[in-house]
Amino acid sequence: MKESQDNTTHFGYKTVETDKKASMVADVFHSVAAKYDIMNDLMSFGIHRLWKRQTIACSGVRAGHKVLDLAGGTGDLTARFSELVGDKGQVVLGDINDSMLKVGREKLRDSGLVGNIEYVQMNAEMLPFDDNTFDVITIAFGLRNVTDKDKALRSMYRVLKPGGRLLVLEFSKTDNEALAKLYDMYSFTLLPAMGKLVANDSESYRYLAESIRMHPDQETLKSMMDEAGFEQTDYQNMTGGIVALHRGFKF
Amino acid sequence: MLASLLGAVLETALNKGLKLSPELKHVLSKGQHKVLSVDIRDQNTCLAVTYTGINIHVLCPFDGEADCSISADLPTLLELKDPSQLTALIRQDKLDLEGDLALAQLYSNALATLDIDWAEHLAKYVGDGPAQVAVDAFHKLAHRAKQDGQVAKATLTGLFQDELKVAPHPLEFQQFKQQVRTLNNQVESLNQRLSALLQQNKGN
Repeated sequence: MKESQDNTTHFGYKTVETDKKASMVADVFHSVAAKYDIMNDLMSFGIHRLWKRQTIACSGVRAGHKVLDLAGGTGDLTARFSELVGDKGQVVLGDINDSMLKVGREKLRDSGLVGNIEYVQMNAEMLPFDDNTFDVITIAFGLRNVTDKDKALRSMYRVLKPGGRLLVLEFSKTDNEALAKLYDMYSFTLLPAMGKLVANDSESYRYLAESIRMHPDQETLKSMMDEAGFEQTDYQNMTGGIVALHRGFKF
Repeated sequence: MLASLLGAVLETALNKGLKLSPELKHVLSKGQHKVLSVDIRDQNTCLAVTYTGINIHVLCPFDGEADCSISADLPTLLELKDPSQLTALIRQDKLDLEGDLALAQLYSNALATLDIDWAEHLAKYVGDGPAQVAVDAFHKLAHRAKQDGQVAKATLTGLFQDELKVAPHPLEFQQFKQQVRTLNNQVESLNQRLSALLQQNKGN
């Protein structure tokens, strides 16, 4: 999923100039930030909570660990990581979008989670950390919005400690034909309608459906992680492959 | 996904227990941030439990390092509500334990000390009198169900063992096990003798 030779990339089904994609994605998330959590629950019927639980269970996180929750948005993973790493650990909630970070920070502070969480606005392609900094890195439903995914994976590999692991939770491809048809119908008709009704923004949710279709499938993403340097990479499909959890280690 | 759902349900129940039985926090604080992994053999599921000082977290399916790992089937794990059973179950080879034994004992003790005053909590919603009546009625019902269960079990045992003769009596079963053990020893001894004879034959 590299950029094309003529410096263009995809934004949903549209082809746009590479340097414009980040700001276009930013506009989408500025627009949906306030209603992000409620839309997540509505769109996934609450199942996103189970996908995220599984990600944390597979992270091997322990007290004292340093965790980077990339594209952390409104902080669902950060909230649990913050408790699990304890006072001696640290969680960095990173997102390229300041609107999402603000919503996340407010939500976590209101829940009393302070002390071991840092909020950093950052680009996943150029992580502003030293080499070998984190024990665990997660990126949940964020990689598909990154312009240069290979560069982002290499950057994650660089800042991961030897022995650490990366978890990529992302929409993927189902190989069940009936489910795929149902899912397409849901994504391109119901989803934008829900977006219009709840967040008054159908276009952003149309982009969501399109960007999922343009995202690399399970095997392609696995090979991209291998190329970035990760070892023992594997993935597990969830909900029939609609979502996949990829995992890779740095040794 | 089912494992995640199971973890979520268990976690919610444990945290509810933590809220309703404040003693539990004190007991679990000694194992704060330590991870106990539980491999439920017959369900082919591995989960981990950790207390962070705020909440209990259940990680399922677990894939990480634990301070203590126990492995047993579900009925055996349910016996751990009685802390004195822990070492007995290990000795009987029903339960495997690796790592910090004290952590397993801590969680077993925590389950034993779980004492929720249901009447007190229910009284907030329906008042003292009705809450006590409801809790007493529930206890009576549970006691009755337990008694009925024991009677049904005894009746069915009698029916299958004595009347229909389709199930062995425990004593017959013990005798059969003893006979199998004796036969096994005899076969083992015969096997050794045959091996020795074969070696002798090769030597000649």
